[in-house]
Amino acid sequence: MSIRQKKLPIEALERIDNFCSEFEGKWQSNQPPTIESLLPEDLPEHERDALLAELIVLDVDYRQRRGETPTSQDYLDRFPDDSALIKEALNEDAKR
Amino acid sequence: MSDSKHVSHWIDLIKDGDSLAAHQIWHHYFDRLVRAVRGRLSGQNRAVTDEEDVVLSVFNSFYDAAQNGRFPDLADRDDLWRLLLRMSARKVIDKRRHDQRQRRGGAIQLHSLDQADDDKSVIEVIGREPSPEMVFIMEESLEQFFSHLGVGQLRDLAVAKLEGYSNAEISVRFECSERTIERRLHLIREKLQQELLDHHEHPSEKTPD
Repeated sequence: MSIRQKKLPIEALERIDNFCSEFEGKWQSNQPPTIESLLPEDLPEHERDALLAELIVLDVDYRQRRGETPTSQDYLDRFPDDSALIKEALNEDAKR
Repeated sequence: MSDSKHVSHWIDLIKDGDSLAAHQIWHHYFDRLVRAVRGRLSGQNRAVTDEEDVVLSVFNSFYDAAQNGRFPDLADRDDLWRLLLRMSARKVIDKRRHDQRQRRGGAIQLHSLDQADDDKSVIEVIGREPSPEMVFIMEESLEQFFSHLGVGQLRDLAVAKLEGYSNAEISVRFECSERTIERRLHLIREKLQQELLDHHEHPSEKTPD
C-alpha cells in the first residue's frame, strides 16, 4: 500500500507527512525512534497503511545509513498482519 | 517537413494514441512557451511581487537547465510542469467557452475532460504556438500555484523540481531521505490537482446555464 495507490485527502497526506517528518527528525538527531511510536492506533485504515509503508521505507533508509542491514523479516515479525503491505513497500523501494 | 507540418503530423499521431508524438509536441510547444513567458517577465517594468519573483527565477533556471539538455519528462502525467500546463489550458478553455456564451447569449454544453482525453483535448485547444493569452495564463497559474503553497519547504521543493533537479539531487540539498522528497512531491501534486485543478474544473455540480 503506497501513498500513491489510494487517493487520500490533502489533510490525510499532510498528517502522514507530519508523522514522517517527526520520525526522520529523530533519526537525524541521533535518537532513533520506533515505527510503532509514530503510528497512532486511531487512524483510518488507508491512512494508517500509507503511513506505515512510508515509515518502513524511511526506517530502512536510515538504518542502512548506519551500516545496518534491515530485512523484510524484521518488519514482518513486528507487523504480522501487514505482510502484503510490507512486501509491496520494500519491493517498490528496491525497484527505484 | 516544415515546423508546422511536423506539428500537424504529431497531432494526427497523438489522435492515434502515439505517446512518442505526444512527447515531441510537448517539447515543441513547451520550449516556446517557456521562452515566451520568460521574455514577458524579463521585459516588464513592473511592481514585483514575491510570486512573480519566484516565477521568473524558476523560468530562468529552467531555461538554463534546458540549454544543458535537462528537460522535464512531459510524458509523465505526474510531472509538475505538465500539471501546470494542463491547469493553464483549462483556464483558456473556460475563458473561450465563457466568451462564446456571451456572444450566443445562451446555453452551451459544458463537459469536463477526463484524463484519457486530456492529451488530445489540451493539445487541440492550446494550438500549435503559445498564444499571448496562454503565455499570460501560464504565468498567472504559476503565481497562483506558488501562492497556494505559501512560503516554506513545499514551495522550495516545487521550485527545485521545476528548475529541473532530480529527486536524488534535491534530497542531498535538503538533507533528507529521497523518500521524503517523493512523498512531498506527491503532496504538492495532489494539492495542485485537488485544490486548484479539480476545484477549477468542478466548482459546482450544476452550471448556471
